[in-house]
Amino acid sequence: MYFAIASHIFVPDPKQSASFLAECLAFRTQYKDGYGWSAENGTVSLLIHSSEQPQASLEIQCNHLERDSQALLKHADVHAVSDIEKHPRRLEQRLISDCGISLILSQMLTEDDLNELPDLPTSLPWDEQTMQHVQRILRIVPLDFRAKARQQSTERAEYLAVEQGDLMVSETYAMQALVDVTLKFQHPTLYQAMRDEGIASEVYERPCGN
Amino acid sequence: MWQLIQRSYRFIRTLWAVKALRQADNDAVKQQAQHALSELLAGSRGLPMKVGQVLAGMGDESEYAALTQSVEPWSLKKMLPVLEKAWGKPVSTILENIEESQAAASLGQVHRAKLNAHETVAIKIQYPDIAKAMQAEMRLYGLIPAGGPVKTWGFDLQAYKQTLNQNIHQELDYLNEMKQQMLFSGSVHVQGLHVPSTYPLLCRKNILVQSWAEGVRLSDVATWGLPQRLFVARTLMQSLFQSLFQAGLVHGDPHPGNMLFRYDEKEPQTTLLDFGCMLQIDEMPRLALLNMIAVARGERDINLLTLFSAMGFDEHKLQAIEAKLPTLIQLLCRPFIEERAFDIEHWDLSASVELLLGDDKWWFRSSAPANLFLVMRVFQGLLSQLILLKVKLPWFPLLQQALKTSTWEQAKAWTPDDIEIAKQPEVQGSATHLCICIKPHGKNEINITLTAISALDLENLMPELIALEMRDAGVHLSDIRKKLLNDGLEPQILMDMEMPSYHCHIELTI
Repeated sequence: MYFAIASHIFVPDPKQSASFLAECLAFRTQYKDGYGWSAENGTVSLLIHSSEQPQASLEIQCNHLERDSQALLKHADVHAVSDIEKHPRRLEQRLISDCGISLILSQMLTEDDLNELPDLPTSLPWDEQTMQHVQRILRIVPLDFRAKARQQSTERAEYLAVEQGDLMVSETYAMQALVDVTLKFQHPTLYQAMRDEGIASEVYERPCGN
Repeated sequence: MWQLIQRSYRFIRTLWAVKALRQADNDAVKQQAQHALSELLAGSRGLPMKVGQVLAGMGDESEYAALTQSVEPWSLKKMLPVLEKAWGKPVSTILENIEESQAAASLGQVHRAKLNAHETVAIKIQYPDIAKAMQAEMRLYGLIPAGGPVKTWGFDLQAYKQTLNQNIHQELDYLNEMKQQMLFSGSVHVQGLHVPSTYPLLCRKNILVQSWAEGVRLSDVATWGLPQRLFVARTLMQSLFQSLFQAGLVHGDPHPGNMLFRYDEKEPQTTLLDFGCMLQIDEMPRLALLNMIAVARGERDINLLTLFSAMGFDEHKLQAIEAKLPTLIQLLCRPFIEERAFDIEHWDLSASVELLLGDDKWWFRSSAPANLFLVMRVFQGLLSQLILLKVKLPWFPLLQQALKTSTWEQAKAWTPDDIEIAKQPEVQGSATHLCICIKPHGKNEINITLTAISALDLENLMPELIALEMRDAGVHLSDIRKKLLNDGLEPQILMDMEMPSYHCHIELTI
């Protein structure tokens, strides 16, 4: 089944709101006789209705709340209603436009923001201390690539363990796996992270060219 | 005679119940039908129960699981005369004591007994007259008409029946079972695997005596800790890999009733029981199968038709799907390709094969050797067991460890040059494809496209019933072959005819 969903918003002046959506949030707007104003940006469609009691609240999920908030506040008709607030798993700030549309800017907090060490997607039992080492060492991987690195290093470590006839992942397999799945230019950083964890990285260091 | 009539009646009722189950159109009806069938099958020993065990599959939680667990055994009083007749002396002269049976199976039941103060044994006694009953049921089975894909795609049903027949006969001979058990025990050595030792001097054609094994069932193992479950899974996997690829002797009936598990202070132990149905795999298909994995992993480059041919497939039938074979082996060998713990629960092999082959899947299956379905059943069993154990393990390292270096070397040295493929006569012509369109009256048409050279093999390709109707209509496929051998394979309509049950159109095209 294929379908499209449109949200209805109610504002005092639909034309002014359409103009705000186009200028500030890069919506494409359209006016049709008999239907009135509408706006869409490829993912969201809004039907803009006239009402003396505005009911229009848009949540904008962003990666850099502070930067995006600054950008929006540069527009003369946008004003902050609250400071940036920290909730358990996200940051949030409320803005309002002169045309009556409320904006909620939100940013999900990352594992680094929350100082969390997500579980490894394991299939075998792991030595508890080794698992913590790996979780911390993986912080050298940029956040956008970390989930993939976590999966790859876990799979590789378990494969190495089984290959050697073991059914439990020890430090040797885990560190070897990290070396195997890490790009060569990042090896120095990886070895340093191992040393920071108190692991003798020289055991796993590969000579240049390998 | 009356017993045979009763058994025949029950067998026919079973077939009706199977039909009802197949036609059930919702889960509730299906479950009801499964339950009814399960009860019916459990109520009789011999072939119906064997059918039930196949339906039960290898899991421990199917609707038919009762068949592998809870059939009411016969009383010791009824079985003792069988034992005394076989041994030719009173039981008391050999055994210190013997208990009532707690475990009945399709062909016999097991009694725990003591030979002396130190040796406890399991004595499997075949039910009196079960051999005769099975033979009668097999004859009845031979009368069952082929239907569905069997009829349409020309399965070698005779070979399938023969394979089943051979296996049933093997299972009825406990002396053979004893030999197979000893052979298996001597050739398959996997950590955690235990095969009970047999007592050859006490074994007879209908009596098997082996050391008593204690343990719990696979469904109980599912509640053990992860390290123990992984250990058991590794034992099960490596036992199959080593027995299939190295020993060429596979336990053909590893359903939950034939396995016991123990875990004390040491490592978990898996005991395999019932070696009555063993699959013997020759060296050629074994090495070919191992090489198929190597090809799928990109480690070897071998012509796939010859590879499948070495496994016993009909290479002429496979020519029709030759272009799809590289993808097909990637699908089939996926657990051995992935370099990580393999997630069986999310491996939908049937759907992937369906997507790749569509209706041609029947073409592939009909080209397979008859004994392959038993090997597939064993693999299917392993998958069910791993799912029940809720574990994921990488397959290839376990395969590597399960086999001796010499087996790997032998596999690497194997080349398809060793295979002799029956060659079709060389016939020139510009046609490239043979298109067969069969439309059963009132049903959807079936289209098959093959290589043009397959036209020379129409006699073997054509489903038996259609060939029969053609003969009745005066058309002989051998005449078409002769004509093509003379005139060459040029584009032409070879046949377009209306028969009592089918419309058939066969054409050579470019």
